[in-house]
Amino acid sequence: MLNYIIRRILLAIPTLIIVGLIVFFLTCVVPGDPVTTMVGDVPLDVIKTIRSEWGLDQPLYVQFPKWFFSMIRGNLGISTSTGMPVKELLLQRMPLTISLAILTIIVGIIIAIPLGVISAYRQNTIIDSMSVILAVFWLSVPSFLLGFILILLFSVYLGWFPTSGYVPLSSGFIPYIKHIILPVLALGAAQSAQIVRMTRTSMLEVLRENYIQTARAKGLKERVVILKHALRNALIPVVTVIGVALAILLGGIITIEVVFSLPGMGRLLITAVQRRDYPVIQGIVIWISFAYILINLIVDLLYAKINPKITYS
Amino acid sequence: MRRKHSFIAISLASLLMFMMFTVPVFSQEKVPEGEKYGGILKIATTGELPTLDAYASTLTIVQQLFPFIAEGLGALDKNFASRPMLAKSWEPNEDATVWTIPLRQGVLFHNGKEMKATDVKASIERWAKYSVTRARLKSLEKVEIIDDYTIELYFRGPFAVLPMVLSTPGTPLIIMPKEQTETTIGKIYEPIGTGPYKFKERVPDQYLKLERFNEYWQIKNPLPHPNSAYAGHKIAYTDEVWLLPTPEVSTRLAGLGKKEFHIVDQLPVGEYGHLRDTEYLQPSVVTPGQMPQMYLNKKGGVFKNRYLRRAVKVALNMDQILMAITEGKKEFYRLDPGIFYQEMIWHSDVDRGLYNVADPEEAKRWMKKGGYNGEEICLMATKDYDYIYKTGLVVAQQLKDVGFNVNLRIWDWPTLTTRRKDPELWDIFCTGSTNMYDPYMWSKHIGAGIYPGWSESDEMKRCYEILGSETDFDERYRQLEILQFLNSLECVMIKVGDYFVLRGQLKGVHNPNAGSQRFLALNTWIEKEYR
Repeated sequence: MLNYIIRRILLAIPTLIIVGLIVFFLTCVVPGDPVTTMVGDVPLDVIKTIRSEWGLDQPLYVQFPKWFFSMIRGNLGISTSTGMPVKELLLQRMPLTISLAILTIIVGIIIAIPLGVISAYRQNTIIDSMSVILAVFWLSVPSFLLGFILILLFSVYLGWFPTSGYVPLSSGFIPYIKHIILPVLALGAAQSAQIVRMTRTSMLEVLRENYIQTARAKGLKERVVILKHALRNALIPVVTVIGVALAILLGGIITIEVVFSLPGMGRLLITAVQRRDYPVIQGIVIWISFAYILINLIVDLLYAKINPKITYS
Repeated sequence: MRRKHSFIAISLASLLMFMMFTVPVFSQEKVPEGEKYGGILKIATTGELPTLDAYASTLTIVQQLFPFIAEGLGALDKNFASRPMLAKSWEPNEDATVWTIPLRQGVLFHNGKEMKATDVKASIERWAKYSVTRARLKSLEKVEIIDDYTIELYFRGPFAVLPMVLSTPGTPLIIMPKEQTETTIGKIYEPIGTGPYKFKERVPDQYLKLERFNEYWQIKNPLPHPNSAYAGHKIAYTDEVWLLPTPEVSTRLAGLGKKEFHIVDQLPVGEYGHLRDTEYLQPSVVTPGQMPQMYLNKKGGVFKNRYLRRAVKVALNMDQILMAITEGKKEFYRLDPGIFYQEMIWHSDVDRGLYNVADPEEAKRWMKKGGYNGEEICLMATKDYDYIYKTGLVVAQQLKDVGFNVNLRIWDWPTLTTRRKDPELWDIFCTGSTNMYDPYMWSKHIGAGIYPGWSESDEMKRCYEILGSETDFDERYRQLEILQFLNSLECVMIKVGDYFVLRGQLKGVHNPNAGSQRFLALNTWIEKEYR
């Protein structure tokens, strides 16, 4: 197992190199000049000075290795629009993005897995029909629209929660929860719908297997059959879906962050694109790639945990 | 029976006590009229500031910050007249080639340093050399220090508009410490000024906090005239001002409704009725607000041909465009050809006969005269500004209706501003402007061949020469009318009209500049805090 983990980590390096290469060159060919975007129509000599300060006057084959080796050493450069180190900017945004992602997944799992199990177990009953309809409904409703509805209902009409903004956990648990609960619900609805559908489908397949009949024939309690034998075997695709969802969330959800005015990764990315802040764009994309690689590794390790037949040698 | 009477008596007594303690809560609070200090003023803005360097941007959102924290030698009052601020006065010599400016003494920067002539000279030189609107001071030859509190500005020729240049809030010539002027343009991240508030803290996309500056110079030496827009006596009533970037308009509106913000900028005009009818909310219609415009490419493509430019101008129905921008709310726009708003002394409708012609048949005649052969017209707009996007949509359709082969390209703003520099890449682009405060300020945009569109004419350049040197108002106004008329004939910059911006605030907030230009919340106090 350890060898497998080390191998995966080593394989991540060329992946990050390729991603870095692609994002670096893509940002350079996108129209819009970062210098004039930041400072406007200033004299040409000033533009040249700033481009030189930022290293933009050098050829791309010189810029890229410089940037890449700095990145490996943990230096993601300086944001051209805020003057802050990119690493500091990302670290500023990470608590919100990570907590939003994790809470969303937790909410999704808490709602979706029991519902998916019940739905599969009680296939073609009213519970099953309702859960399928609801799942399709929540998948169809855009999360930003749901966000608006939640703000209207819970913030404006009921006054229970604030409409926007973020309070870090260090400023108090209650204010933190009050500010984050609506975005979590807005995102969690679609995630739980996906997990419900996958859980139900997977459970239905497993429940038809012979070993489930065998387990029942052996006289095991129904709860044990469902939870220990069926669910565990059905979890593999569910874990995959959860992993993909978590990775997407860790990249930031721009629409929700805009609706709720949350200072997360998504908003940072869109602002950086608007301002052609290359170091920030590159930094965020590398972070997203890293998140995907890490989540994929964790998911693969979980497979082995869930299903002992899966081994990594 | 006795028990029943006791019960009734106790109930009545309880009710009476309840009313004694609760009626004052439910009844309308009487708030005393008068200044009130304290509290945190929370203002929801339309987005994050792209820069904290006042010289590096013309964007309105950047200029929302600076009236709080920085000042220039002059400031505009509500009538758009220049008033001395950090300057005590300004005096030209006979031919306006030399201006002598005595400075106020005892003015401290936020870093505790006293403002002196060296700081002012350095600020003016940085602005004149690097700011995005530096063309306004292109005839500045040198700045000389006479003593610690007096400077002189020397110009290559007569320069009558210096007070306006020193006062304009667009890319303002704010005075900063000499040390900060040595920072590369665009790289100021903690601006230092002389204003009633100072920079406290910023977390991008979350907040920008300002706190009262307790050594503000007007605390000890207030200006004699009361606050009027950017000028006059300024007071920091609240302890702090928070600018909260809230890009989503629905969220701004919801936040105002929930009393989380005191003042909110740029709300949908359709919400005017709701704001007006809500007990604790107050709408304010900012007039003037914005001036949508478009520029035709005189340097490249089909619009080198002036007949085709004329065809575009006469085809356009400005009423329809403005209705699209303002969601059909007629009270939020007006048709007006003036390159200055009606509220300004420079307003003129001298070219009204050439404005909003909206005659498709006449447009077709001009197209035929110009020999139009169906060449593709690239029309650029952006979704980054809703009014520009809507202008582009409607203009594209109107031009298609008369037979132009229009290709509407929507870019983000940085891409559009890059592409518009290349005359091979576009034919029309849509944009807007807020206020120009003096006819001379149009020199960058029309007539000099600098701004994309490359409007250029010797006659217009001649107008600017006179405008730059002439001090007599009547003569300057005459030149303004000539300039405006020539612009209409040239058909490079085409003005759509004026539209007004809706803001909202809580009724418990006293903002003397609520309906004024730009976004001003100076001298604002919180009379009543809603819980």
